[in-house]
Amino acid sequence: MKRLLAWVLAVSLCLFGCQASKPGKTDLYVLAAASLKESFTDIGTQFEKEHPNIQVVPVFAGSQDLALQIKQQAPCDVFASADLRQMKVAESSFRINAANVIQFAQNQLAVAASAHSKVKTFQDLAKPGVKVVLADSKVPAGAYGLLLLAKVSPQFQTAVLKNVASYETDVRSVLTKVELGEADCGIVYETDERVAKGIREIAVPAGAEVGSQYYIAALQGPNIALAKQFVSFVMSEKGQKTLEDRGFKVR
Amino acid sequence: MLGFMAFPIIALVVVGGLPNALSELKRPSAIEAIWLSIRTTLWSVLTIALLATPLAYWIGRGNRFWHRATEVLVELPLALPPAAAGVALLIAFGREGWLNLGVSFTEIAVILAQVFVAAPFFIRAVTAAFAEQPDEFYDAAESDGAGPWARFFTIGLPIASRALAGGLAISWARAAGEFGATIIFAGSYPGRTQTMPLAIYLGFQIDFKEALALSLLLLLVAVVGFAIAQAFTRRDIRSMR
Repeated sequence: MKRLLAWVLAVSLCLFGCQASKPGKTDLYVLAAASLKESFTDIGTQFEKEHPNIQVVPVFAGSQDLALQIKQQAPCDVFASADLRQMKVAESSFRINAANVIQFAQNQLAVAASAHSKVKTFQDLAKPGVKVVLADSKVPAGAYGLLLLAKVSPQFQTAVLKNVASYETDVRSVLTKVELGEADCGIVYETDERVAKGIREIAVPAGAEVGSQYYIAALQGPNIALAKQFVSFVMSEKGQKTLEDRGFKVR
Repeated sequence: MLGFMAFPIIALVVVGGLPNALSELKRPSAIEAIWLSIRTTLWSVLTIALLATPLAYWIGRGNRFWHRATEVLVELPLALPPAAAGVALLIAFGREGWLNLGVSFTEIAVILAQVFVAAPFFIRAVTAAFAEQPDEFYDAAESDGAGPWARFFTIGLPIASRALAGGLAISWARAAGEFGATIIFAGSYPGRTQTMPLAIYLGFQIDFKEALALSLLLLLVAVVGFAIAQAFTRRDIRSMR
């Protein structure tokens, strides 16, 4: 028993020594909307290459989740939100100077249908028995999604909402449920469809298209100079090119 | 250790505050989540009592390889992250899983998730109780002509009744707190699959006060569950001395 305890202690001490943060490197916490997963992972790696003494710690979740974490004083140097509303929520923490908030990319709302589902056209979303999954209305993708449905007609929105099987906590959970075929279809971003496996894109009727805007801000704190450098990198030609490659619209 | 364990619980009770919590819980969204939790956990506990008791009896009274292997298998969810349990349920019983039960996004999916994660707690407690029962009782009954069913109902069950009650209380508390498997397997829809733990998670993003109040109520559920379980198992130990 004593020997077992000694082993457990020794192993845990070893593991403690090799945790994620490398010695002599500054951690830069980048909290980014779930839909930015691939693009911001790329950008983080590129930024680390240009700044060898910095380690980017990316955290991805629904923007509403991240905004709340920022309000609860979670470590954060850069916040990238999928809409302005959640950026405002984060601003109410007094950790963000409104002058530092910049719009850095745009996206387009899209409908994804699972490979085997009976949903063929946009109108099928309102057919009885179809399982639709949306992001919760507090999630940027959820709020945009409601707008998209309302743009067709209020009656159409009501009919589709009757088909909603689940309100997910971020847009990628919506995508996963569609990929798995659990749901027949869901409202996501165009950039999500690019990384999705085995889904079909359902065209949104002309006139109902909804664009979304992403906002980024460096947070007040000891790392603000570095955080501003990261934001500048996102706005630079290289950063914008990375976003464009992933399907985002940039200026 | 005690301080580390007690501090967050005390903070939850003090900051939550009972009077404040009670007024928050009167909101329709909170009541909806509470009712759903009550309904689903009762069904879960009933399912566990009916289906897991014979299994625990079989495992507890046997000592072959298959008994031990089954025990490990059914207690596995104890060590499995609930989210992983949710993924497993999806690929097994989801719409495109091996066996499509056609329950995705329904209350039944919630119950299945709860049974999957909570049943091991019951089985663990009850298996031990069946295993402890002296073989002499069974031998005597058998020589008096009692068949396997009679032995189960007249000896196994009555002697294990305290462990059964304790196991049910623990698994009920675990079912009430189930989150990870539910959100992945059953999704989240108010009144249908959004149980209290899910409402807490969403509430945390929307309305911290309601999340706090629901957390406090779940804490109460856990306390009651464990108190009942202790009351039954403790006396069990004393009576054996």
